[in-house]
Amino acid sequence: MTRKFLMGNEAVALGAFHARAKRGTGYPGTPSSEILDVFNRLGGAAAWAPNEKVAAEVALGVAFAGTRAFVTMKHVGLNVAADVLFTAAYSGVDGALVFVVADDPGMASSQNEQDTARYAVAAGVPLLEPADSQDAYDFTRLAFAVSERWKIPVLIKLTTRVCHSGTVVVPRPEDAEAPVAKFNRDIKSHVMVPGHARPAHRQLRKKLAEIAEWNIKEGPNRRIEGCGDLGIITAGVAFAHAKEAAPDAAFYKVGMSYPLPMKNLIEFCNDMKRAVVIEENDPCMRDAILAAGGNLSHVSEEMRFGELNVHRIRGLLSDDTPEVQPVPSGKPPGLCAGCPHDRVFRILKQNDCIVAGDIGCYTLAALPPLEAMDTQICMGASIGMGLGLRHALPEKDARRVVSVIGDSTFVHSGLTGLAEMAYNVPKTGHVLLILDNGTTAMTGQQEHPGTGRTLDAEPASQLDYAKVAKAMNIPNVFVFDVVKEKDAFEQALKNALAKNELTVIIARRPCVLAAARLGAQKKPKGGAL
Amino acid sequence: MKKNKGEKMNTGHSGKTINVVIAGVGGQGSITSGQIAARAAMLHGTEVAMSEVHGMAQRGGSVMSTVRYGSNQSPVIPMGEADFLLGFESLEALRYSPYLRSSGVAIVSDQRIIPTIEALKKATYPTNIFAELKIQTKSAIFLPALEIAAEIGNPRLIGSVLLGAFSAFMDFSASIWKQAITDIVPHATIERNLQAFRAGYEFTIDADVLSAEKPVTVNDSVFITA
Repeated sequence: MTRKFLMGNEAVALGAFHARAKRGTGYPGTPSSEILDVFNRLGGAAAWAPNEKVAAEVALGVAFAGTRAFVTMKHVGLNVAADVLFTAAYSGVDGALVFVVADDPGMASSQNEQDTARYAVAAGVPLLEPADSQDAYDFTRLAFAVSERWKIPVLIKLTTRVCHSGTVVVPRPEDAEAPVAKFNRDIKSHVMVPGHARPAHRQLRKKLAEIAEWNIKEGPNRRIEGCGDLGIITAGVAFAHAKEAAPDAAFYKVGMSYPLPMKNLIEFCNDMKRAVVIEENDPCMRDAILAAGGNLSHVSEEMRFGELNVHRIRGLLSDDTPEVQPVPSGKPPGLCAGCPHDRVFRILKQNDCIVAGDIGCYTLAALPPLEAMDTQICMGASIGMGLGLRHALPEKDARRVVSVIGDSTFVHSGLTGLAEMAYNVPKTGHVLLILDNGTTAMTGQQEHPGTGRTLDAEPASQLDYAKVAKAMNIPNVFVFDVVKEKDAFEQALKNALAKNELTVIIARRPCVLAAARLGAQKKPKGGAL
Repeated sequence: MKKNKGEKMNTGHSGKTINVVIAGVGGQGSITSGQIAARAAMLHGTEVAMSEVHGMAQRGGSVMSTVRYGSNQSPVIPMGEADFLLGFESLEALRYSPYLRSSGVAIVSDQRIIPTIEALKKATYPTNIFAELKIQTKSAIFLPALEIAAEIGNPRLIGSVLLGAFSAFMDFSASIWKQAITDIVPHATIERNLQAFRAGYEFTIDADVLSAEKPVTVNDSVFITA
């Protein structure tokens, strides 16, 4: 087939399409967001879910129906979907289920640099780590095959640098049709009550032992002989950096990093005068190899911080000299000219509010020039944390607390927070602002259940936040256009802060970027990459 | 010096890696230019890897992408190993100039985008960027890319102006660049992008590269054919 130049995310989408995935689901999150859009453009059935947990559940349902599904998210999204992953590992699948999870070492656009590899070990599911776009394509194909063969969910760990780097990909012929979906009543496998889960756990460990054997014999791992004393065990894009940093070293490039091909790795260590593990994020492979008695040389703990690159690996290999890393710090991002969030935060600042914030473009309000957001931890946390602050602070300060959440984030994780707000009311009441700009702006203006459109811009039911708040018995609910009704908005906010009641204000104004995009034509379907 | 103008960086089969850093501000189209530069290599039959960092980039932050021609391994260019720096904005060019080799070439739009932090008087936009760039590299071309782009009809064409200037150093044929641009940019803008590309190319070729007085200099060493 013809060579294609593809970004890692495009390669995953093409791999899933060629594997005849019946459905792709997910929630946007940099650096994973492009995968579903590309899959849709290729002609695949793709949809955004309200959050990663729901997305994973939909995909698991497809896999229980005997056919192939995948779900995409960023690393912190797997925290939300973890509940599904851990027990889907026990239940197994009838068809195939692939979790595509994108880590962000160095935090180009994330709140932490947690390592998805830990989840593979914790849940007990196979983990594939592509190093480039060709791997991303091949490993996606392989993930479906492994999942279907062992009836187990499979995890693919991407990283920012794999998602957003482009290299040449040579695709393979598409799979024959995916298995036809049909209902298979199998209560013992599909209903994880204790009596069913106990044997399922033993079954899971048996599958993993088989997969480990397979990985030793025919896994997607590669040993490359070198011409010196040094041997490097590595996975993911760290391989590409390390190969350039130490071209003469021998390499064991791990493709499936859980369960590890341990026998091969111990052999490799024994064959080398000096063997090291070079891995981004947590030292997962290193710890496992050391625990298995592998003879590894020390690499500085510095390795686990941030993204690796050729320069850093040269430093790490030349025996722990302190790393000098003069990567220039970039111009900080800020809210766009004309952004409606800007007005809201100016008003909050003028009114001396304590702002429990959330995740989205508006998090930029924490930075200069606004510096008008006081907390941000994870999706949806604004509501619970704002309530906590209200419960604990002295009355004078409690009155200043406002929770601020975006529309997509509200749908993702704010609904349960709002239920808590209605249920356990602080003495001073509380104020929630939903900043409704009509899109998931930060990640590239994706649709969500509040926009009234599906992933491929078809009309859909539109969640009404005001009705939701009323249905949850919030006594004061307002909707304002923050540009046209700025003064009324500010007055309503002041009134709400003075009262001991609950108030929800929906600050509505379309994102300036999304407004332009919606004017443009829909992308054609079935296009080639 | 003149004779060197005809010689180009050989990206073909020499096994040599040519590293290009593209620096800009979110929304300027620097990533699209990287895609065109990578596409050109594909069409030329050269190995290529591209990398970009975005995410919050659309919100006016720094955007850096890299294109590596040749049989390299890492998609990321090590510090001090870039052969070219395409700067969409003067300060961004300076920011990423440590990536350049001493023999590298900076091709920089003289546009200045004042960051909010300077508007707040918490930092100062440097005034002598050209002089500072010259500390990093002996070869720097400042061109009025924004002016050229605006003249052709859209400030967003600066990417093609810079690519045109860059193309003067590369051995990809004109038809390959034309195809790469056609493949990547929106259909309605192809003609104007090609026009901008030609303008950038001509600026580089016509520039009085021997004059030390002007902020347009070209160093011999970069023209070595591998």
